[in-house]
Amino acid sequence: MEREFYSDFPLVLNYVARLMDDIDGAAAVTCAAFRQIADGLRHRPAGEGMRRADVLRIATELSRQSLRPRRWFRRNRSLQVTLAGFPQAEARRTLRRDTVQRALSALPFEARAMILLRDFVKLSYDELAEVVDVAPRKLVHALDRSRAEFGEIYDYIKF
Amino acid sequence: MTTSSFERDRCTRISPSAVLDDRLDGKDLEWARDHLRRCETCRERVEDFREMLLRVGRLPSAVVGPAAMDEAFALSIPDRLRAEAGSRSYDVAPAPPAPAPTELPSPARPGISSVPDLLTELEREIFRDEPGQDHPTRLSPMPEPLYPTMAEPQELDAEKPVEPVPTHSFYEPAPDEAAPLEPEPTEAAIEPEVAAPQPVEAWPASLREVPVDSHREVENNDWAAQADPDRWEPQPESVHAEPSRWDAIVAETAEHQVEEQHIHPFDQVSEVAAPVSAGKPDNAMRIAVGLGAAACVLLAAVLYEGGLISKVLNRSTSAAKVVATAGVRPTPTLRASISPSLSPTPAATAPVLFTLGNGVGGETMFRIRSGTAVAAYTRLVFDMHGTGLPTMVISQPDALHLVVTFKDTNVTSAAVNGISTRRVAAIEPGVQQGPDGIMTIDLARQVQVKATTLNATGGYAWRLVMDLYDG
Repeated sequence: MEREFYSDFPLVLNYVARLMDDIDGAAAVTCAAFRQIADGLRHRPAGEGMRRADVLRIATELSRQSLRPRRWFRRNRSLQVTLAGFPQAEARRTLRRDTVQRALSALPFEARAMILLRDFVKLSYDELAEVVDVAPRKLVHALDRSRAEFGEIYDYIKF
Repeated sequence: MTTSSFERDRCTRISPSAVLDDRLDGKDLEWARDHLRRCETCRERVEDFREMLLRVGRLPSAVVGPAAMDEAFALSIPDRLRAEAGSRSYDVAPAPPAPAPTELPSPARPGISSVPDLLTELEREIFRDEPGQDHPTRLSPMPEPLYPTMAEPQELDAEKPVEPVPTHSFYEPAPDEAAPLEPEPTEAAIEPEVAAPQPVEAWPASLREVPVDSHREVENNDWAAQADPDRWEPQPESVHAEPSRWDAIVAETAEHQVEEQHIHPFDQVSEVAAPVSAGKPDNAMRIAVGLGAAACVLLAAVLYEGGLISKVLNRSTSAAKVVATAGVRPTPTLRASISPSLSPTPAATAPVLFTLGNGVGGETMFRIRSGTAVAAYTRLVFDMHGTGLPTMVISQPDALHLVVTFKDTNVTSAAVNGISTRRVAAIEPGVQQGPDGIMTIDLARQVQVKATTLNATGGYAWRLVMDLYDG
């Protein structure tokens, strides 16, 4: 489990940062996702470790909930986790001025998650179907729509 | 995998994602190849999509240093599981750069080699007879910003030596040459650490308990008010040459005070100081306390009128769980808050409301959806993977808890965060008791439950649907 954590954490953290377009809040969501998976591992057979698809699915769900607008009296406490030396100021600035990231952040959440999971995280179709809960036979069309929309937005803002 | 439509007089018969992700085979593949040979519009679309794919794939990744990784591990993995895992027996590479692809042949064009090579193969077939003609939509070099602190993306530069886009897995160890790429943490970027609670240390033996009189005013210590001995000037002698009895008493008291002042350490001066007679009452402090109390009463009245106090009380358990899941720091309080004692264990005498399902085993309840467009009730949908519906027992141990037991079903992978409605305060994480999975629903109010099941159809999985009406 430890090895899986150390190998998956940077990837999931960067994915969540891109998905939420918030590198500061990504650490809290990523840690919460890993914690939830680790809690669930207690009830699984011994030797069964974290599955990357599970972590990404929980992280996606937590990111969606974190981005969901809430009324003021139901507003959750903003989750903040401060990791030593992360994010660096330059990384934060880079995320903001990245044109591709700006185009991604203009996409709907589902489309953004799908593009990032397929092209950034490089999940297989089976893993992607499990994470975004879309039937595999529909993934091609969903990716087509998402990429087309992303291309239009990018062409519009790239200059 | 293909579409058969025209969009604004533009052929969209080819699904670019199906081509780029290598999802075609058999006749579809032959048809797509044949169509791409002839249709320039589809070829351009596929190229456009490939550029999009490459742009996202080249996004730089923020570097997570070893210290941050260790801290994240401590935050994420509970102690009990960490103890099982043991200490880390390997080093974390500071930056995950791409390993040198020495074994790969040089692709024809940079930037295209990382995607599935169906189009490359097609291009070879299409342009085999026309070696001088290149692809019509060639990627143009794009000026990329500098990435000083993020992992350096691979530039899409036509003049650059052919180098594939980073296709390295994040699971591979990073080579040593990437170590200098990791930037030193900028001091300005490091946010101040939250002060960890210091453990309570035993008081040193030299300290004693000192009774504190809160009404005592700050003493005017004559010793402190005295002039510095170096600058002390001799006072004129008293006019009275004959010392009176009172002078003797005063002198004796002064001597005694001097002795005590020398004997007791500095931190016990207040103990030996003589109590001063009660001075003027601290009116400002009393007024401030009074105003604060009045403000508290007023705030409580406003909250009570608004009905928020009951909500807060009802949500106290869910709030504790949110904190536990968020996991700001693994403090003892945090660990205590995630103890499973929050949820009542399904007692054997809990009244069973419904028993549903077909008795199929080995299922996985992977998702819980909540909410409905109708305000009269709250709908909870439990989605399950598998070949059928397991036996599901819905019981109600008390008025504010519902327990759903999924027989021979794994329920631990379902995300439960954020499910909070007018009638559902929270859903606690699934607990596995042997083969059975148990989900506990914390209710915000008394409800009436209606439950039904739905079979898997289309893109929907096997479902348990619970509608909660106001009781």
